[in-house]
This record gives sequence, structure tokens and C-alpha cells, in this order.
Amino acid sequence: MKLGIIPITLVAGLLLTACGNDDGVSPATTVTVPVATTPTTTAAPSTTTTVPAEPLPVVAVTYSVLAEAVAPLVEGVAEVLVVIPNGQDPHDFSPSAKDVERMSSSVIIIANGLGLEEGLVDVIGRLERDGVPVFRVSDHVTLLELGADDDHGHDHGHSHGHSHGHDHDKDDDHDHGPEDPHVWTDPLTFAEMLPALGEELQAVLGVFLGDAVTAAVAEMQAIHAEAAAIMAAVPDCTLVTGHDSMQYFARRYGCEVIGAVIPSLSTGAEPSAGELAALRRVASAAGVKAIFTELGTPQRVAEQISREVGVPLVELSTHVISAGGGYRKFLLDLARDIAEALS
Amino acid sequence: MFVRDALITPFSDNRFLFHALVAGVLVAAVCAIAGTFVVLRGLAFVGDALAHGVLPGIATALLLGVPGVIGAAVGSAVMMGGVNVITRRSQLSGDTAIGLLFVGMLGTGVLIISRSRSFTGDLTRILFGEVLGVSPSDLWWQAVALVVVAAVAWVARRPFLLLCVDEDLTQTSGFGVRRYHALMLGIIAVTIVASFQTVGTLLVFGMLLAPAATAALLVRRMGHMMVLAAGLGAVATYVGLLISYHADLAAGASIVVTAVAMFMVALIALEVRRTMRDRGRAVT
Repeated sequence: MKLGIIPITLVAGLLLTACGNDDGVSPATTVTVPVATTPTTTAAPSTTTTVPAEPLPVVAVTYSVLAEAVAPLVEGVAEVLVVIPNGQDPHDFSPSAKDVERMSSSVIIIANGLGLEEGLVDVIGRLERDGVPVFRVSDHVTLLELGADDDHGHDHGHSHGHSHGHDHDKDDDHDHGPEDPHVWTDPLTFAEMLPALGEELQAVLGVFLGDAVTAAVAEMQAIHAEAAAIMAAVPDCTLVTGHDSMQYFARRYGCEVIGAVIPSLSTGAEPSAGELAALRRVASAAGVKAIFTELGTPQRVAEQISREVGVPLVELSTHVISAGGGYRKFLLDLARDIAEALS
Repeated sequence: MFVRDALITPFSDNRFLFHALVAGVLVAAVCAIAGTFVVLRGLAFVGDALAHGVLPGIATALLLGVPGVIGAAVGSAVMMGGVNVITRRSQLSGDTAIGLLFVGMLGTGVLIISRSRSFTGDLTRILFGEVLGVSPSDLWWQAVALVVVAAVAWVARRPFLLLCVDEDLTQTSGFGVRRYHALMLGIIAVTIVASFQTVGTLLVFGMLLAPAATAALLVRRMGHMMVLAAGLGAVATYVGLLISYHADLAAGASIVVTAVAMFMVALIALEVRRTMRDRGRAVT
């Protein structure tokens, strides 16, 4: 019990230095004032006019794909801080002291949850106990549960909205549970969190975001329609992925994930000889047209499997945003890359 | 038929597994030669330090996009040079210098990896290797390393043997102690650099020590030790890969744990035999 105090004091110390070191307006006021005083309703117009003079409040988002979904909601009213740099594996990231400092001085932390950000779970839990609001996407979308021994998710999703607010550190501490964190690979599942996120942001920023949320949901639906059109042209969508990351996408667009180089929801696991042999058998038998790799896929191992099955390796951008395209380009690129490789 | 399915088909059906087996046998052979010297001359700590000292070299090589082997070679050279300089320039003993550099190099490697934005996941792969990702061209490189190490060990077999027995004797026999010690470290470094891709920098150390130590328990002559160690290492590779196949465990670790388990079994067997013999003597 006593040990728990040390990290908290540590973070508190960081918080203090964060406030002390910052030049210009003390961020402490920008952090606490909207949280404490502004109610959930629309902010007074006077507040909006003073915004350009002061630095915008910072909204910390754990990884880049999620940040692309948050950015349109808070455009002009808050600055989005991406904690895990785009291009780095969110499954395998450890924060520096500076990262923790910047997260502690943000008005809200938006995370995926379900242990996707394995290296941030402890830090986020600590900051949450210190009073920084935390929004976890996985609490607000229909989750896909993966069977313990078979790789196919049975379509038995259920909402976790009810569990919002209870202490998550304990279940997040362990590896990925049987629930799949890769919710952003399906725009409709991803969009389910937008209303709740809008409300939460509205509360901490004190700005009306209703219209932005409506627009964002509509955009997600438009992206889905386009992706569905692309995927409709794929005759047989059978996927072998780098790790088990594409189940939400597969369920939405009629694909089947028959195996993964790392048969795990995280990239941190190491495939065994037996698992790789099973993958080779399954991939050969199904006659897949390509083996998809991702960030964090062991390249050399994937090469041996592709050589043996006799199909090319195709890199999929499942955890990385390409410059300037936002979530729309991310998802449509994903669909296009798959469609191109499989037809 | 069942036995064949369990023991042979995994390797005949999966080329990646067959390549892993060949690579493991080559690693076992080269580690047997270098490992015998490590065990007989008591260089375990240096070997360990070398195995970890290559980490920043590999990390930098990956960062620059050059083959990891080159970085590993540079890393091991820096490590050996550093140990040499510290022991000669300060009053500190060799193992203090080794320990300092070992921790320093390991830390530097992790720092370089944590600074780069692209290959964080590779830290585990450098430490534990990718025995299941061995390509045919890797096998050629390993064969070359084996030939080089074996040739050097053959040519310098007399001074090496003397070094393992007595340094003064080496000197009076007309061999430079320092020169041959450096040469011995050199072949250990080549062994580590050639093997790290297969079993990783952490586990290569197990392959260097365990089969050679087991052999040292069982036979007396240096040449016999090397041959036996190579055989034991090859068996450990085969058994380890089978365990990884049937029990779904990480391949590199399975191999090394098998090798260490073989040492334990040999130790216990010898102990049991000695007790039995003593008891037999007591009775008569």
C-alpha cells in the first residue's frame, strides 16, 4: 500500500515543475478553470473571443489514428497532443518523463483502452487518480470478443458503456484480454464513441461541440460507404495479417482473418514454431493471395512464411496515419491496399 | 508412423523450421569451439559482456540501414578495446572494467533503440533472436564463420591449450600471452556476431556456455570437448525446436533452456554415479 504513494508524489512533483517551468500564462489556470467552473452547457461567447490571446487547452490523445478522429471535434478550441508519435508501435511504447509531464498538464486524456497502449496504462491510471479526466474509447463502443482457442471472433459484441467510470487499472494492467482493442479499423464501430466523447470534451473545454459531433458521425458514415464500395469489388477477402489487428474491419466488410504471423492481439508476443507451421498450412490451404504485414511484424519471420506459401508480403498501414490525409485517407488506404492485393 | 509424424515431419513439411535446424546446428558447432575456450579459460564474464556489448552496434546499424552484423562487429571491437584500456590505465581489475562496459554498452543500446521511432519491437528480437526467420543466405554466413573460427582454433591450438592451462607456461613456451588472449577473444566475438541473429545476443551466451560446460563434465581432452559440445548443442537445437513446435513455446528460449537442462541432467547423473560408486566401495 505504501509503495503506491511514491509514484503519485512523483507525478505530483512533475506537475509542479510543469507549472513552474512554463513561461507565459501558467497552464495550471487553463487546466483547472474550465473543469471547475464552466458547466456542461454552451460557453458564453465572451470566453470564445478571448481564446486567441491565451494558449489553447491541450487535449492529450494516446495514438495518432485516434487523434485524427478527435482533431475535427476540437478544431479551434483545443490543441491535440499525440503522445505516441505516429509511426511508432502503440503496443510497444514507453513514455519519457517529458511525455508524462505533458499528459499531466492536459485537460483530458483520450485513450483507446483495453491495454492497446501497454506502456501508458500505469501512467494514465496514476494521472487519473490525480484528477486528470480520462476517456477510454473501449468503454463506449461495441467490442468484439475473441474466443479463447479459436481465432474467429464470434459476433457476440456487447456494449461496455455501463462500466464507464469504474477503476480500470486492474484489468488493463494485464495483457490484452480476450477483447480486441483495434476498434478503429471499422469506421462505424469507431464512430460509436463520438457522442460520448463530444459530451466529455464539452464538459472539460466548456464549448458546445454538438454540431461538430454530428458532422464527425456523418463523415464516418461517408467513409464507411466508400470503404464498403471498395471492398465489394473483392471476390474473396481472406486475410493473413501481421498480428490479430483486423477483426473489426473484417467483420464489417465481409472478410475472414484466417491467421496472423503473431497470433495475438498485441505485437509483443513471439510466435512459436508450431503456430508458424499452422499458419503456413492454413495459408497454403486457403490459397491466400498475400500475407499482410504491419508495424511490429517480425519481418524476417514473415519473409520465410511468404516464401514458403509463395505469395508476396504486402505492408498494411493499420496503426499509422499517412501525412495530411486524416482518418478518411487512413481507412480508405487500408481498404484499397487490401482490395489491390487480393484482386 | 506416429513417431515419424512427431519427430521428422515438422522439419520436412516446413522449410522455415528446417532452416532453423540447420542454423541451430551451425551455431552449436561454432559455439562449441569458442565455448570450450570460454569454459576452460574462465572467460564467461567476458563472453557475457561481449554478447551484450554488441547491442548498441546492432541498434546503430539498424538505424543507419546497414546490416546488423557490421554493427555487431564494431560493437564487439569497441567492447574489447575498452576492457583493454580500462584494465591497463587504471588499477581496477579486469572484471570491474568488463562489468562497467557491459552495463554501459547495454544501456547505450537501449537508449539508441528508445530514441529511434521505428523499431522498438526489435529489442526483443535482438536479445532473443529470430531462429524461425532464418533465410538461406544467413546459413551461408554462418558456415563461413564456422570455417574461420575452426581454422583459427586449429592453427593456434597449442597456444590456446597452454593458455587454458597456465599463462606462465604459455610464455615460457614462446607464445605471447597477450596476443593469443586477444585472438581467443576475437574468435569469441566472431562467434557471437555470427550467432546473434539466430539465437539473439542474450541467448547466444547460453549456447556458448551450456554445451561446452556439459562436455567439460564428461570428457577430458579439449578436442573431444569441442566435438561433444557441438553434438550436444545440435541435439539441444533439435529438441528445442520440437518443443517449440509441439508445445507452442518461443523457439530461441526453448533451445537454450534445453541446452541448460542437459547440463543439469549430466551433473545429476555424474553425482548419482559417484554416490553409487562410493557406496559400492564402502560395502566391499
